Amino acid sequence: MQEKEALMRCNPTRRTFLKGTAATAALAAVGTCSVTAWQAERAEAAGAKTQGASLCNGCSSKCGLVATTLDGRLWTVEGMEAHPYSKGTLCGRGHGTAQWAYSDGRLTQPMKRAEDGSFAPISWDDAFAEIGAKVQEILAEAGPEALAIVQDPRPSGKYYSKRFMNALGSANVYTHAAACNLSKESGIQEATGASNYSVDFPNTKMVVFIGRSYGDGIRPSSVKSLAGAADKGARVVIVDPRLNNTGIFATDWVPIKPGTDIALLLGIANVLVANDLYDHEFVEQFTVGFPEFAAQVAEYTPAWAEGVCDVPADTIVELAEALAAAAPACAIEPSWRAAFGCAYQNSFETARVVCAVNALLGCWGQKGGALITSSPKVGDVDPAKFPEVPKPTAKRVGDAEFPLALSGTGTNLAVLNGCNDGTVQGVFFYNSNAVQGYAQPAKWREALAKAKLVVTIDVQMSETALASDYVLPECTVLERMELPEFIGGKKHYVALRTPVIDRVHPETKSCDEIFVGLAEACGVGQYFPFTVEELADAQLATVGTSLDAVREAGIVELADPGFQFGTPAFKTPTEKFQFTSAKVAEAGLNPVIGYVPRLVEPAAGEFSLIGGKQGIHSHTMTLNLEALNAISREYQLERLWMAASDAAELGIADGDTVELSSSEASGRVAVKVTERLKPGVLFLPTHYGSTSPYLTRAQGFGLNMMDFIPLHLEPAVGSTMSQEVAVTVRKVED
Amino acid sequence: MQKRANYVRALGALFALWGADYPAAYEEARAGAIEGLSVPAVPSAPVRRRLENEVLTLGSLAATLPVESLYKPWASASGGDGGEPAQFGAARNLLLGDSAQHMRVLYDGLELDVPPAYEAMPDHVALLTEVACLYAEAGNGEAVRDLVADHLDWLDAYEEALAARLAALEARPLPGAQHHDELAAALAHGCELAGALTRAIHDLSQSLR
Ligand code: SF4
Repeated sequence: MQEKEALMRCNPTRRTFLKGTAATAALAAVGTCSVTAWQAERAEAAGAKTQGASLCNGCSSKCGLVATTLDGRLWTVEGMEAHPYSKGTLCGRGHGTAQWAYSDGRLTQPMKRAEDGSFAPISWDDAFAEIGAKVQEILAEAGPEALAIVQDPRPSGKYYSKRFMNALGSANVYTHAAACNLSKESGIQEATGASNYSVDFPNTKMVVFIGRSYGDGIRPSSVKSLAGAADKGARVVIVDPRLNNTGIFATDWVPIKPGTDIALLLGIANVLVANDLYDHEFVEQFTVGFPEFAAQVAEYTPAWAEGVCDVPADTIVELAEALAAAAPACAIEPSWRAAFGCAYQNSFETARVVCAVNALLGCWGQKGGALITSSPKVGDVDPAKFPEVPKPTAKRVGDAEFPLALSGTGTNLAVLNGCNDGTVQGVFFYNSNAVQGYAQPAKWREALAKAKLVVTIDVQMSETALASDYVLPECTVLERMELPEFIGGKKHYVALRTPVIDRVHPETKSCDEIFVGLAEACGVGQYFPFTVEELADAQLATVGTSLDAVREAGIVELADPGFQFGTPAFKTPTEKFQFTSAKVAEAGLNPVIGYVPRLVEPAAGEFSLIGGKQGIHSHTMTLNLEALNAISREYQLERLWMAASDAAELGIADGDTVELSSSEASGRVAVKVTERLKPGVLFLPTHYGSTSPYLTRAQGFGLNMMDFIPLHLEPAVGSTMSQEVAVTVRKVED
Repeated sequence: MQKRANYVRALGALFALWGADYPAAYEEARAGAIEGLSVPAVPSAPVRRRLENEVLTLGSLAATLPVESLYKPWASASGGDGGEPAQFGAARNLLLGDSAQHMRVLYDGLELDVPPAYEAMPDHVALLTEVACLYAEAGNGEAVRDLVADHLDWLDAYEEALAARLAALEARPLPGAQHHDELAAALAHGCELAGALTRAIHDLSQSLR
């Protein structure tokens, strides 16, 4: 006999972990397979290599990637050639996040918070049942309007979270946008009828960036386009208090006082109008409200603008003339979060002014100008298989107070306010670390403590998870299938996130599995009688392809949308470009595009505080990843930037520790003294300062900018006004 | 060899999750203790609970697991067939590294199944020490020696990781004093267990020379 029976036979008194029959001959065989022998043998052998296409989740760009696995383990990832965002390259963050599946910092099973605030594992069945009971209780006592979900959109998450909330009867679905690009997108929407546009880099002669930095908030294709334009001799102007990492492609750096970009842009508009440098044909044929705008902009002379934004009037005139000379092959870039995504009281208005300058230049839709392109439209799917969810009757909480917030995103800070006043009692978070990043963490914690139920779905124990009653672990990006991701632009595509490795932790679930479980537990499972694959296939059929085809190729180009240069159709209520907006008037603001000051003016001895991304991190999400955290530490990326002249005045040397203080918080951090910053301004990277003890590598490293920001919302829009603060700084003597 | 291997296995088993049954596991370890080697004290129920829920469980508050992959480079240089190296082969703190792969090969050869709870960590010390014990029972000293040399040479790094966790906890105390004290005691006890296991493994390998 070669084999013994079960291990229990070896020693009947003890409990064993390994199951099965131990092969005696193998146990006794002379010469075991040592690690060295195994590694050597494996180096020679052809392992089981496979390749699979998927989408990166290192940030919301969702670049296409190709993963190679060896014997089931992830071996390498590279950018997908055919994907319009990666174009064959993944950024460093994308490479770093690839190791997520194997990270020791992951959540591996559902967790429940105990009375004392500690968390203990709970089974999925119990977690679903308890959450379902709580939801029923809230529904009975306060109705569906008291439930809300906040999510940072991902292909499956945006579909399932909305469907789940709507099925429960609630319209309270919000994205992260109030702490990202809400003001900018809402402003662009009011002016143009589209929430975003792009610059035609291959043909541009001049582009002006307002705060945004492709070299810091990286998307590979954007960096490549800009590099291409720079190579072809385009003039690239960076308007930013900080010489950011797009500087290597730039011809000009225009240091500006934070929160006053609007004045610079109005100064440019003034020159274009006053000197008759604007595009009459465009303005006359395709816009409304120009006379009112022109009358108003007359006040905003370059000299006035200089007084507000501290950019010399001559520079403003020169920029305006250069843009007019390059027009229509030029544009003010639309930006993203940066200076007017959600930063100031005037962010919405800044976005409108950006659009107005582009309108004066006549560059909308033109070669080298500002392009509004289309996105693929998913057709209707079979309602017998994918039952329609009735439209919630009550309006979304916050929409009345913030009517200018883009309808697709809403303002998630309405949830914070709603928890405080009792309107919202049950909150779900999907792929969102709202507590740490969307407004002051202490205020979020205080508000969520008042809710009856808080549930977070994440891959790690974020600060938001810590403020929750239940934490449900999602499997990481390369372990899961999601709904198709449709990509618009000059061409249309659809791409797919598919699992390229097996789930490392069997007790984690994918987004669709979690929401279906929640829906069933909450009594609305009838709206989810399909699998993610079935829905994906049905959606793909409506655009002329199939799940198999997209799975196989990773990305499929859809029917040509027929993009052509030329003035686009402005999908505004007036069907024209709007220098004036009735909706803005209804919201109680000046309908004519004009000037709004920033809210907080630093007094003498105080500084403006600006934030920004670093190319290796995605907000707070990637901080705990071994490889990316190591880079941050190696290069001391958590440091506060200070202008050399300010540092000299305060007796601060590079590397000194300072105490940074605002009305809300104080914290200590090392200083980077630099010539790349406008005096009077401090720059703090926006990733750091984690407080979650579960995120051991991230906890306590650097400061979290949001701790320093008062809780206040941009009027009518509801953005977090992430840079409306004045701070002081003092050297900490040892 | 057998007695020593049994003791190593019994100590390794103390890093598994026993729930309310934990005193029996300690009893077994204490009963099989080797003369001259330290014997871990039986912790109180709250301390043992913190150790299991908040130190020895992946994704928990002070998760510090005795899993070999976390303390070694993730993958050796070559990707097989002369191919590319693994992209993050040199990284540590990742599960399912080479050590886990190699253990799977050994388990397959021995016709042993890894239970679902250990799916992500086939190189957990509770399993590694059990295999060492099985080899010893089969009288295969060479295999025990290889296993100890290949797979049980990282326990001092593990003990250091627990000590670092304890230091970090003391530097940033938890808001609840009782929770804090119990977790601190659990981490200290984890250090004690890791130390005892390191010494028992050393003793076993000395005996095989
Ligand atoms: S930009 Fe980088 S992190 Fe973001 S999806 Fe693309 S590769 Fe991933």
